[in-house]
Amino acid sequence: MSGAEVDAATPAPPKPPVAPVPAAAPPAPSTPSISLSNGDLDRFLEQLLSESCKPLGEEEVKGLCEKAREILMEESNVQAVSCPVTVSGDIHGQYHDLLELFRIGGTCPDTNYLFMGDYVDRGYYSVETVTALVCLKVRYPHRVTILRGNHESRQITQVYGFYDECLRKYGNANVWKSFTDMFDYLPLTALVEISIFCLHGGLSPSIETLDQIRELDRVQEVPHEGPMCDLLWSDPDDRCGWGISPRGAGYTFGQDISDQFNHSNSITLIARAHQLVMEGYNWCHDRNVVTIFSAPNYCYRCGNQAAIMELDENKNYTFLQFDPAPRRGEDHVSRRSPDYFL
Amino acid sequence: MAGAAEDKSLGALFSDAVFAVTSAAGPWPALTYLANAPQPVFAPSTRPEPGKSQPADAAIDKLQILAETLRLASLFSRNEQLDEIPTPHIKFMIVPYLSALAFQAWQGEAAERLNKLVRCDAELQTFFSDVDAYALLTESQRDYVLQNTPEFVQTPMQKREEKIARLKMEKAAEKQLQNLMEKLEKRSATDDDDTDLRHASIIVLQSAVRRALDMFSSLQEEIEILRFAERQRSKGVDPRVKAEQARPKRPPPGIGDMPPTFRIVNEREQERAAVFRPSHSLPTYTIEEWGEIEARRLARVEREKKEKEIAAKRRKEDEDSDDDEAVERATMEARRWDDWKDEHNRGSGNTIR
Repeated sequence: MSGAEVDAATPAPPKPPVAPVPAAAPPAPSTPSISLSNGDLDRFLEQLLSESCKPLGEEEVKGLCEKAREILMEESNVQAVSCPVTVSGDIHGQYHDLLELFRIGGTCPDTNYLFMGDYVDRGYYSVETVTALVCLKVRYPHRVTILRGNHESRQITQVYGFYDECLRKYGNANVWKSFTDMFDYLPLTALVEISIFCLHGGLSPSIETLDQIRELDRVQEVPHEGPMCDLLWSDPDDRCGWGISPRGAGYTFGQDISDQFNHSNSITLIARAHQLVMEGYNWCHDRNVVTIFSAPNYCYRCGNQAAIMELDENKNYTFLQFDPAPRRGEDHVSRRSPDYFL
Repeated sequence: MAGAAEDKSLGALFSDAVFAVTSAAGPWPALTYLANAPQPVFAPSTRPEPGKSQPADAAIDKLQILAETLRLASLFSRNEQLDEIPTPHIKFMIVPYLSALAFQAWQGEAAERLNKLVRCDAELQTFFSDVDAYALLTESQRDYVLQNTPEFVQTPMQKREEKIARLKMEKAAEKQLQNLMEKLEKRSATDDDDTDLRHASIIVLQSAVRRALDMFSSLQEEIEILRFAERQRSKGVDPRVKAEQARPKRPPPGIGDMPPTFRIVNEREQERAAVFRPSHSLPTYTIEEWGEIEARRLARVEREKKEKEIAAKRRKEDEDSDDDEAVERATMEARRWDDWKDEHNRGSGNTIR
């Protein structure tokens, strides 16, 4: 766990002497029609989750996305998730930092994960990042939850890098199309043990209850306005009430709003991503809301730390912070200076 | 080898068919000469009335008969070279292309036109595979027309250059044919040296290949358009009605005192810049630039956070001291919150547990 600092907000209970057994997974759903065996998926994951990551072929991605779609189709707009689980924020194509995240948070299936969107755009390895996460989702559907972020959309990915990256790496837009068609099925929010509400952006003035979220028709491109757009675009703010968001989509909401929402829905915490924060996580609204951001040194420029939130069996949270992954390739090169120069 | 009598009847059929095709699709003097056919009666501007037979119909019928007769006569064998084919037979290799021409010349209702074009495409394929057997296609042409590989993508520049080259070759061929025809005209009836006639036949055949290549790409485009229209119609969308709706209702507003229909078009540069660009909107800054924007925003947020903490501390101190107004405000706030909670049951918004 090099470079990882631990902020124990609530004292974590002593770890049991044996490795904790992850919560029992319910029986597998009816087998999807596409033939992708666990063996195939393990092979994909081995190919993907290494430093020398090689993206999958076009046809493999297509099959993967179709299978992911079948799994996601069955999930709720407010997907129920049980503890223990590790919650992660924006990744933004910073693939090597995602590998670092797994080194610090533990690998699947030993650790359950909940990712809160924005896997693509900005970073240089969006294809690798989103392929690996979707692969994990398909391989361990009950241990991994992936939500939709505002960047999981056709329009946004055309402007902020994912589209161009697909063209560059595959020579055509088929892979981009497979992924963005699949994005339409991603759940919008998740509810951990009916008390921790997780989503990408924030609250919406058109939504007061979780039941209202469950009624949304989510299988579509992220709209420019309305409740579905707000959930993916809004931000908490120090000012009370609803405000106009400087982003041009969604709203800002004050502590009074989060107080009311948490009370009405019997929620103890709203965990969300969507905003860059210096320490990787940031409390606001008197600990009603926490922002988690998991892309260290965002855009290879910002010098911020990243964080993930570990929730144990008893919903106690621990934040693990981490820094950018060391560039292993470069280290290797510098260590190999020939000794006859010495 | 077919007998002379059979050749003669084939010749008559061919001449008949050439007359019909050139009447329907436009004159082609060299071919008319080669087939010894009468001058065509071609009226390109007449639009056929629906239901009535048109010149193309006659040409299609004649060519079908001719093609069938040729098939039965089996004049060509795939293991022959071009120079092994007797001179009078060379011209018959053009027949599939003539059929394609006749199908393409057919005009009328869109669904039927699509049918005709699909058959036209099939005839072209036959023609290309026939001439390819005699090495009349280049490597890239063969890839393009016989496999129709999607990888075969030409830039507009390449397309243009190819077209120009084809046109130049066509011009040169025409000149050559002119000379040959004059020479043939002048020679005596007893002269049985067929070198010139053979040469002319081959030039006509090569010219047919070039024309067929031109036809091929435009044909693919038209088929695609007709299929799209078919799909629209089956969905109940009439493309004509849709186009009419999309048409602006009134002319754009005029400038100053100018009448509305008068506009100064000063967008040449703009239009030119818009020609070559991707179909999607491009990023307006690099990832590094965005990183710097985000870093600046972050610095501002952190600064504001500190200022607010200080302000909050000061307020807290005020409230702790016996400031009546602050105490009052806090009480009111707490009361309002209690009232709200009375109206809203805790957890009422989440019925699925």
